[in-house]
Amino acid sequence: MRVPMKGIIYLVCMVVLVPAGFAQSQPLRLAVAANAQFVIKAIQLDFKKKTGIETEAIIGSSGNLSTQIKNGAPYDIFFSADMNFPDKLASEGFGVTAATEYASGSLIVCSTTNIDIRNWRLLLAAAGTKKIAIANPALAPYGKAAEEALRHYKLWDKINARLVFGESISQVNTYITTGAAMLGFTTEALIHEYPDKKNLRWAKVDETVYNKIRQGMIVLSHSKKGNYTSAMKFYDYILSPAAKQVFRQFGYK
Amino acid sequence: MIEIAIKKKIKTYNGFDLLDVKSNFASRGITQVLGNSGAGKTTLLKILAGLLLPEEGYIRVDNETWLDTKANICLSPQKRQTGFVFQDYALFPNMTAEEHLRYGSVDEEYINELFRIGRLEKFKRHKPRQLSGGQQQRLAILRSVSTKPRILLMDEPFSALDNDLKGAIISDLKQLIRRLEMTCLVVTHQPFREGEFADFSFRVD
Amino acid sequence: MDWEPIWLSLRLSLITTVILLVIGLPVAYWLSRKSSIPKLILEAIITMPLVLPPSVLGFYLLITFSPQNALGRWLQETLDVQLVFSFGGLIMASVIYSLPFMINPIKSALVQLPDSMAEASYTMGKSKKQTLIHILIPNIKSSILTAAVLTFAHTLGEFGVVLMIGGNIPGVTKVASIAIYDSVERMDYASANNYSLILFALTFVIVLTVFIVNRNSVKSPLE
Repeated sequence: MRVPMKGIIYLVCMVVLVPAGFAQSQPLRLAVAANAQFVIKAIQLDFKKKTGIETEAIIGSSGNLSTQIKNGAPYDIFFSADMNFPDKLASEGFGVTAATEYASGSLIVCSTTNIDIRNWRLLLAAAGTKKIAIANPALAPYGKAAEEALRHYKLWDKINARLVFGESISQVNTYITTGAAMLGFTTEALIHEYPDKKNLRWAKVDETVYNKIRQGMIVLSHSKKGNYTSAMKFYDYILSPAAKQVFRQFGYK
Repeated sequence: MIEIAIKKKIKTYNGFDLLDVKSNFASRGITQVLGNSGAGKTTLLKILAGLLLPEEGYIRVDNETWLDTKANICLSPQKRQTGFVFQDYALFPNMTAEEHLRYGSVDEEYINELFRIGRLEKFKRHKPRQLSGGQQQRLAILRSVSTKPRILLMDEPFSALDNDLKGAIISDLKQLIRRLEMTCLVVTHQPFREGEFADFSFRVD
Repeated sequence: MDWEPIWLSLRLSLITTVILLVIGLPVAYWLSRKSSIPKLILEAIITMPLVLPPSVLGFYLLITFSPQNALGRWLQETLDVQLVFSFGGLIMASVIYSLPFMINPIKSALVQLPDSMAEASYTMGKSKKQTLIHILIPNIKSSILTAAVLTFAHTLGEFGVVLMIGGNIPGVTKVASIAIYDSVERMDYASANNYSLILFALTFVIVLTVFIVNRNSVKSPLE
C-alpha cells in the first residue's frame, strides 16, 4: 500500500505551524498549594467578576512549587500552605512583596469507608493493617500538621508502618476518595468543595494539637515581566473582606 | 597492463592462510582466475577493486599507482571505478532494472544495447525480487559494465545462467568488452573452453 | 474539554520526531560502519535513556539549565533563552529521551544490509553520501518508519522528564500526559478519562497503521 506522502506532509505542516494557542499577553499565573485548589477556584471567579482579569492556577505541593520557582518557573504569585516556603523565597530574592498570611488552615481526618470517624484515634490505634494517608511532611505543611497531631496523641510510632505519603494534599485526597487509604489527613476545604458527598465522613482535628497552619502568599519577581499591576491587584484583593469571606466559606480561618 | 604484488592474510576455519599474488595481467585481455575453494580468488578481486586492503603490496594500472602500502597510497574504490560482478549479485532491491543501469550511465542508447545483450528488454521495469536467479545475475553483469569501466572484475558471473542463453550472452559480452577495450578478470571454478571467453589463465593457490 | 494539552503533545512529538530523523540518520549510519571503542561508548550513552528512570534525566536537565546555575543564567542573560519550564526545553528533553528509539532500529537495519550492496555502489563511482541516499536509506524505509513511529509514540507518553523540567504550565508545558495526572490530582476523573482515551486511541491508530503499511516487509519493533 503506497502511503500518501503528500497528504502526510500537509498534515505535519498544519500541526506544527498552527500556533499552540499562544496568547500574546500571558495570563496571571497563580502557583497554588494543593490544599487551596478548591477555594482558589471560587476566588478566581470572584476576582474576575470584580476586575475582569483572567487568572490561571497551577496546583502542586508547596515544596515542589517553591523549587520550581527557584529554578525559573514563570509564576506571578505563590500561595503556599505555610509561611516557611514563602519566607525563604523572599529572603533569597524571589519576591516582590514579603510573605503575607492570607488564611489559616483547618486540618481534618476524612474517610470514605464505613467507620465511626469521631473515634478516629481509637481506630488508628487498633486498625490492623489498614493504610493511613498523610501528605509528605517535608513538602506539605498539612502533612507536618498531621504529624504534629499524631505525635501529640502518641500515635505516630504506632502507625508509622501503615502511613502512605502523598506528594501533596491532592494525592492524599485521591487516596482517600478512592478508598486506597482507610483514612487520611487533609484540609477542611475539601469538604466544602463537595458538600453533597454523603459518603465522605470527616471530623475536625482539635486545633490545639497542631501548630497553626498559617498560609502565606508572596508576589514573585517574575510578575515584573508583564503582569505586575494585575498581580498587585490580586494581592490586594486577597486581603480584602470579600476574599476573606470566601476563605471562611471553605473552612479557613 | 595491471601489475600486482600483494600479500594478504585470509581467515580460514582453523587459522590463517596467506594469499600471495605477484603477477601482471595484460591490458585489454580477458583472464580467467582459477583456484581451489577458499584459495582467495574473491579476495584478490576485492583487493583490486579497492574494497579490501592487503597487509603489504602494490598495484599499478597502466603506470598509475592504485596501491602502494609502503608509500601509503591507496585509491578509493570510487576513484578506481572497476566494474564488479559480485557472487551474491548485490543488486539494489529498491531499483528497477532500468534504474540500475541509469545509476551507472546516462547514455540511453548504450543502456538499451545492454538490455539487448542481456536479453532483458522485457524486464526493464522489474525489481530484483521480480526476476529469476538467472535474470538477476544477468542484470548484475549489465550493471557492472554500465559505467564503461577500464577494468572489469567478475566473480562467478555465469553460474546461474540458463544453458540455452549462456553461449549467446557470453559471446555478446565478449564483443562488448573488446569494443570498449576493457581489461577483464573473471573468477570461475570451471575453466572456459578454449576460445570461449578467456584469453589467458591465472591460478591462485 | 480543553484540547490544548492534546495539541501540545502532538506538536511536541512531531517536532521531536522530525529533529531526531535529521540527527538520527547520520549518527545511525556512522555507528553502523566499522565499530571502534569510541563508537561503542557513544552507543552506550545513546542507549542510556532506555534504561534510566526518566526522573534522573529530568533532574539533571533541571539542574543544568536552571537559571540559578551557571549555564542557565548565561543562556538567559546572553540569549534571553530559558530551557526550563518552556516548550523549547521540552523539545530538548524529548530529543534526548527518545534518541535511542530513533537510532537503534535504524542502525540495526543498516548493519543488516549486505556489505556488497554498498560496495557495488562504490565501484560504480558513487560516494559514501550518494550511496547512503540512493541505496541504503531506500532499502531500510520500513525500519525508518518504525523508528519514527516509536519515537513519536514514546514522546507522546513522556511524563517524568516533562514534569521535572516543564512543570505544569497550561498552554506551554502542560502536555496530555501531565494533564491526566493533574486531572486525577484535582479529582476530575472525567477529564482524566477523556485525555487517556484520546491518547490511547491516537497511539493505537498510529501503531496499527504502521504495522498495516509494513505488512509486506514485516518488521516488528522488537527486532
